[in-house]
Amino acid sequence: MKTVNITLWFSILISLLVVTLYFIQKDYVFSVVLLTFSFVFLFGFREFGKPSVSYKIAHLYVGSILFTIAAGYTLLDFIFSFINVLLGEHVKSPTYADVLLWGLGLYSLFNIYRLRKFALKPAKFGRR
Amino acid sequence: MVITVGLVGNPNVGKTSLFNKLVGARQYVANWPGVTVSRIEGATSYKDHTLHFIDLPGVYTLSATSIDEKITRDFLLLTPPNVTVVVIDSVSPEQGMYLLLEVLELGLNVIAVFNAIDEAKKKGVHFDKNLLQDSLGIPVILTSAHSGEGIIELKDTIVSAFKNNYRAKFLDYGYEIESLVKSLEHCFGEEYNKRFFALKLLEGDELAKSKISYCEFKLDESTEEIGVEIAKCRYEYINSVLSVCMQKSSAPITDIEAIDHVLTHKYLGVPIFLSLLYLAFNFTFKVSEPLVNLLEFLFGKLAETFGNSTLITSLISDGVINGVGSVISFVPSIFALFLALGIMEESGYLPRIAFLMDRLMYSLRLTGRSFMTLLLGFGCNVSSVMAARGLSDERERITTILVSPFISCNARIPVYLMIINVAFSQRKAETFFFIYILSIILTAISSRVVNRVVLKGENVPFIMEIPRYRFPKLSNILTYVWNRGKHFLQKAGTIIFFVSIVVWALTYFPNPDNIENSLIAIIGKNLEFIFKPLGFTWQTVAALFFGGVAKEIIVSSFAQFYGSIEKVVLHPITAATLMTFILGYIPCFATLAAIKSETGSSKYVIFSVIYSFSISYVLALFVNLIGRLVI
Repeated sequence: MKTVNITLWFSILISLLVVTLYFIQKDYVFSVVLLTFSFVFLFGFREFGKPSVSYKIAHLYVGSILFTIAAGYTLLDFIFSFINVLLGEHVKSPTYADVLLWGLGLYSLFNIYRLRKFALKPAKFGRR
Repeated sequence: MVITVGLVGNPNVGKTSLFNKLVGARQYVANWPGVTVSRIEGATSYKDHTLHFIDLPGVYTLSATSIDEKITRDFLLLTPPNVTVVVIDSVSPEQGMYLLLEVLELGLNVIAVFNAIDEAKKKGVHFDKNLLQDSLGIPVILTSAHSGEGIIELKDTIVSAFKNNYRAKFLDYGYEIESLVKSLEHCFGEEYNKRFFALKLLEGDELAKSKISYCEFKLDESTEEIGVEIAKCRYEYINSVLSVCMQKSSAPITDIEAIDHVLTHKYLGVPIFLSLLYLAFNFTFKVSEPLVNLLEFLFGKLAETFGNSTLITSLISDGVINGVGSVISFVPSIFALFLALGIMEESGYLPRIAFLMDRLMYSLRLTGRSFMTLLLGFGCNVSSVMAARGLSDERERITTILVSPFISCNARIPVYLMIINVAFSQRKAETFFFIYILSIILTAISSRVVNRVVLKGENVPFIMEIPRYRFPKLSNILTYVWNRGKHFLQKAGTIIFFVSIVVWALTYFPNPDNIENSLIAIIGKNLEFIFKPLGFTWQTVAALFFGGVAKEIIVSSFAQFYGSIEKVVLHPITAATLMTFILGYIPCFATLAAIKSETGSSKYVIFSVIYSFSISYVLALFVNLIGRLVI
């Protein structure tokens, strides 16, 4: 429970930092997209009742997937910009926001792996 | 020897995937129910036999209500195949087995196929095949259309079933129901399957009621209770079989439940969907942009090589290369968009949106099922018009057909891309995203209008089986992308090609050096007054005129009028007005023909043309006026 809470808080803080950086560099729509993804983590704390831990894990898991997608998307964007060289254009240079998002993407990927292995994998088999 | 094999099953259990695997076909498959709305046939040779497969629309029961369900029921009743393969979802087999019991009542030669066995194993679901065969009294095969597991065994079993003719024993419903069934059997003529119709009559089936020749039995409220009792008997039997033959894991929360909990969240679901849609559109532009530029460059060079000094070279370079090439240049963007949408659909995410949208759709007097049907319109409006036959409520079906043309089909994509490249090059993804959202809003408003003005009736509840999440399979996504994209390429080689030549001829004559005096200019200038309030020039009017045949021709016409796409000049306000107008304007000829054939009435075709044109005009005028006030 404690680990889930810490991971959620850490993910929220980093994601909000990424949102702020994209907002500063005037990438408004993308920062709104990332803010929506940050809310997935934040809503994890609105889960109460008996299965709250499970649902907090759900928010952490899905939030991590979404940030992995966002990071993968910016990474692909960066990689594809190399094709522009063929057309005489410049390669895109990554910003601080991009680098931090890739870092968050990596951390999210690690969280997905960890949650699938220890929290979401079917535990045992039983007769119906 | 030809063996006819019918593939029957609940919607979205993988019948079409299995069909593709069995016959090596590439029919469109998707991870949501209701994709197959008509029967699809294919054949393959196996061990001196020709296996003729018929893939039937998915049904939950043989008490059919919608057009596609009737296709399946009538096929089994009127032209029963040599072997009937009932495809059951291994992960949640209860509903599939219910259908199996109904099919067995028809006395057919049946094989039960538990499909998606690989997914079931991953989720900790295991079957004892031998016990299942003993309990059901028919051959049982465990297959995976995904990995190909059990496909050869299935073909072997089809051949042996054809030779041995397996007939299972009927389920015993208990003394009271069985006596009633016996007494009702004589109500039906010899040409009918008496036991099946007697049971269906007790279940309140309309077809069974219509087939009664003579009956002393009176159908009343107690008959409804017997119908419930029959269903209860079947489920009790299914549960007893599964309790012995199936093992299932017991996890506190699975990854699927975790994903569903968030993606279908009351507050987060829609914002996440819109965010992912935006990322998909942005991906489309960024990934495809270099390729689009490369194609434009190559077509430009090719046109330059030919030149346009004579009639023939002008026809080749201006009419064919410039006209058709300008449309083909956008092929990478179209394929990239469908790649992104294909991943969302194949993963099982899009059907969740239908679930999320159901509340909104209900207020528009439609259901989430309509939303799924309309989603097909992003490929081609003809597909969504045809797929509406899967809707059981007639009012909902007609409404869905009439609002389908407002969904931005792939024909409109190159037009939007051209306008966006010309007028909104700094905000491409945002503009594209906005026009798609506007398309959905316009569809929603039109649903309300059609329901209020044209059709009146009560809402039917939305019941839809939510498919499982799957890791998207590359071959399925590529099939999806190809099936949707090839339509565009086919049009480029046929209708766009011919109309481009017509446009070229009208541009070339009578004076090739002065387009202002050409025949096309006369057409455009004569119609210009209609579009004067929208700020359209004669070139835009002429392009829209020919775009009525197929929307892509607008791009081809612009390329010919201005020399190339890069030379097109559009003010942002005019561009926004034009995009809004193109959203509706008029459905293409193919969609109008589909509306006529699916509704069987010309009045709906006329309504569709007049309504689309009027609403697009008014909306475009509104955008133009607001634009002029703001800028």
